Amino acid sequence: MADDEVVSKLEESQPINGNIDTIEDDESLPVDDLSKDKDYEQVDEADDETTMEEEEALPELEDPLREIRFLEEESNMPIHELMVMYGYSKNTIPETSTKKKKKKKKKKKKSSSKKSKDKKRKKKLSTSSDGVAEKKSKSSDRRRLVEENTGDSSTKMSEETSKENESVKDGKECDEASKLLDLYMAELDQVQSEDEDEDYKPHWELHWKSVNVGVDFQALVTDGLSTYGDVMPYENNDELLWDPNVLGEDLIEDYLTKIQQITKALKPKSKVVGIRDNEKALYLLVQCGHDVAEALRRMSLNVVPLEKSLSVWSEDETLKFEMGLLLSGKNFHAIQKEVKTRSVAELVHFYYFWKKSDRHDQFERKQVSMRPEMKQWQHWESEEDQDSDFDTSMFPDNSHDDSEDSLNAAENKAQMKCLIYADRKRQVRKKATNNACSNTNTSTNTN
Amino acid sequence: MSNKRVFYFYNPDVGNFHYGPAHPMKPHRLSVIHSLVLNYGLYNKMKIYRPYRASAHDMCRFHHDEYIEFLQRVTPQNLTTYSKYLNHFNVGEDCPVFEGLYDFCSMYTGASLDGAMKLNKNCCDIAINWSGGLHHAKKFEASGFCYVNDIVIAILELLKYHPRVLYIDIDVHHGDGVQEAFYLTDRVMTVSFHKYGNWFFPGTGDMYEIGADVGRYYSVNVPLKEGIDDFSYSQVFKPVIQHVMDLYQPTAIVLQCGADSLNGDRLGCFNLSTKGHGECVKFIKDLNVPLLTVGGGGYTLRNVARCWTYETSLLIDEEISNTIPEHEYRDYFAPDFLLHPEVVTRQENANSKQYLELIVKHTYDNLKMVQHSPSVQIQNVPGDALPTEEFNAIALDEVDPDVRQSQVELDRRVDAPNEFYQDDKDQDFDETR
Repeated sequence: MADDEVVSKLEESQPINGNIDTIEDDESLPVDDLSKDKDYEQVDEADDETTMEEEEALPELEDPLREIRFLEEESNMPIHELMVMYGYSKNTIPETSTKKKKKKKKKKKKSSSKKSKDKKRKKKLSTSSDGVAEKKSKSSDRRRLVEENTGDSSTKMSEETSKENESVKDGKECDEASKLLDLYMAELDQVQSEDEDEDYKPHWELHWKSVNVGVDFQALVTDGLSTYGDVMPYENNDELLWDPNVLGEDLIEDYLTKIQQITKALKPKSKVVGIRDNEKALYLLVQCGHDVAEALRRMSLNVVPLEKSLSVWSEDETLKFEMGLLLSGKNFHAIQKEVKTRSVAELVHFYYFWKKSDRHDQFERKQVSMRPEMKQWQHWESEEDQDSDFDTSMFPDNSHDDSEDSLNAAENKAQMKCLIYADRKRQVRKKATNNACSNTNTSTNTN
Repeated sequence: MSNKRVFYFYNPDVGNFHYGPAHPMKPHRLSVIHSLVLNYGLYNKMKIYRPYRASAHDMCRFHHDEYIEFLQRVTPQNLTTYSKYLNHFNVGEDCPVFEGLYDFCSMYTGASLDGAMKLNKNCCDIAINWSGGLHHAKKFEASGFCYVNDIVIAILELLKYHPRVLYIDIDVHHGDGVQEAFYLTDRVMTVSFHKYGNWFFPGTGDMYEIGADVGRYYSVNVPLKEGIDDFSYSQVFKPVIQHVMDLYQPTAIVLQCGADSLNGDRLGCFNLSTKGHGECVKFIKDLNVPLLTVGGGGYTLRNVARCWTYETSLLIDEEISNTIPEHEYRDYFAPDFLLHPEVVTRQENANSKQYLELIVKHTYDNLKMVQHSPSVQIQNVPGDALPTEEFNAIALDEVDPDVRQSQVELDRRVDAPNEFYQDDKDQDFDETR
């Protein structure tokens, strides 16, 4: 019944089309004219009927001429093409729906989305000192919108998606449809599509949609400034490792070369020369109060402890590490149970060097031969940190995927809640395992 | 102008954590960055600190103590006993429980906090902490690989000395945790540039999110579409930031340099080059306001390391060569071993010129309101250390009328030391240093 009202309203306002153009031309950059919206606050918000006209008059973000051109094109279009355009195939469409009705439907949708957007803006601009109240009113507003929308858009959307799953051919048609919808929703896409999915889980939506306000969310900001006083509260806890301003650059350079000579003399076999040692040496210099001679003396006495994490791993440890990796993957706390002599931090540190060593290549070969079904996995795992040839086109690109396409609404929402869902490798891996599972299933079935 | 005092905070252990199998967040990138920074010889221009480690008490300045206690106690071994809390605190797939979780949080949070304190003490002009920047964490829950929001805690520290703090976020994801924390205050303005729409994480960051209550108009969101390139980005970034600076006049800036806005990121969808990303950092640096730089997202290890190493060099005004020097992790930069790899555009720029102009105009319109809304701390706020009552007891008629500005009057006039003035109290660093 609400639908009927809107439709009739629209029928009345159809000749206004021309008027809209002139208004729109007057205000070329409409996005958010605050003064204008301020005026809106004074308008009785309860009366939707009167605000409708103003909403119609609200300039669109989109080029109005282009819109009109599309409408004209559509009106000259044969009915079946129109149906295809909107993702309807002949069997699903109700016999009664005519071209005209269709057009209205679309217009109505547009206006309702416009309305919702405007509402939102108004809400935001209206006095919002009480955040909770704002949220509440928003939610009720939303619920109303859902009721309005469920009638057409959401069912339409679900029709589209379900059909797309049915056949590839239909999917192609839907693509066209989504393109057309895009034209109308380009600037409103988020608002619009979220409204459409609302009937799925309104609570969730509220959760992520609005910014939470309340003691459980905001930080406590005290008024005014304060001072630390004489003592810095945490002064003693950090440690200066290096200060370049005490000695000249030449002196430091000289010092570092001397240090390198000493270390070479002390540990002729050591392969790890260079910056880690330098870092240590610089720290030593700071510890000695920037006394170069003293630092060199200490260094030559070899009182500087070796860096723990770089102490050489024994063959036994490495084997255990590889075994752990084979058994539990990159669960380092599990691997630690295998390699008892090393901490998890050391394991992680070691892993990133091991990964680029020859041992890693051997390990991979061994693993593949032992567990061939792991091959694909291993491939992804090994590429993970170095995906130089990572080709995004290979993967389903969800940021580009439109609401109407492959992902269903629930998954979309999960994606919004969970950052990791955007990981393309994860998606591919999942798909791969699913395929593998189905393959094994079918093979067992045939057996 | 190049003699800015730069402090660099790095805990040698912060890279040795692992989020678990197949998780895109890799703390070890921090070790790679540090190694690159050292091998480029960048230690010549900055002080290096092993930072303070944040205590649970520090974390509770923003977070709820129940949540922090949970983080302290939970380990992969006792996970099952905490199962009912996992959902409650949103710990699970996105934010897994891994070995040393609390230590990790304590290290990166402590570094940001330490940076803020050094800035407060005016020990340095720029503090760098690449391990920080975990901007999604909420007061009561973890979110988007972030557990403790070091940015919020650092800003709270800065607010002790700074009347107005500006937060800028160039991560590809919306800086929702920081925005939410300061949504109701005008003492912090949050400005976030991010991808918005099509269910991109975290789903907030619409341009109509502008703050509420006193903080109304003090949250700025610049929603962008996928595939934005260097040119388009700077066309939005620079005018918006310049406008914010003119109108808000912050006395300190926190810059979140999330590197997932780079081209070819595992989770991001922008097309920025390391140079384009760095351009933003340089722009902020050249504003000559005390600056805390933190890291953030960034899920293609090589590119994050390149980006933040390059940005370290920008912050200390040192040119570095395009060839990656010999160092432990050199193999990770195969095959080109270049600091600025070629940008391979795989995603078309979906941001039309028109769209970007609209966004900028919208931001301008909102910022206009900042100018007109009364802001408490543009007036002077006395520090609490002053003996105010005694102070005011001196009647004005005791003041010598022949002296233009008596000592009493001067004493009474308390200014935040980092306010900007045009006259002889000018603390703005241009030309004077």
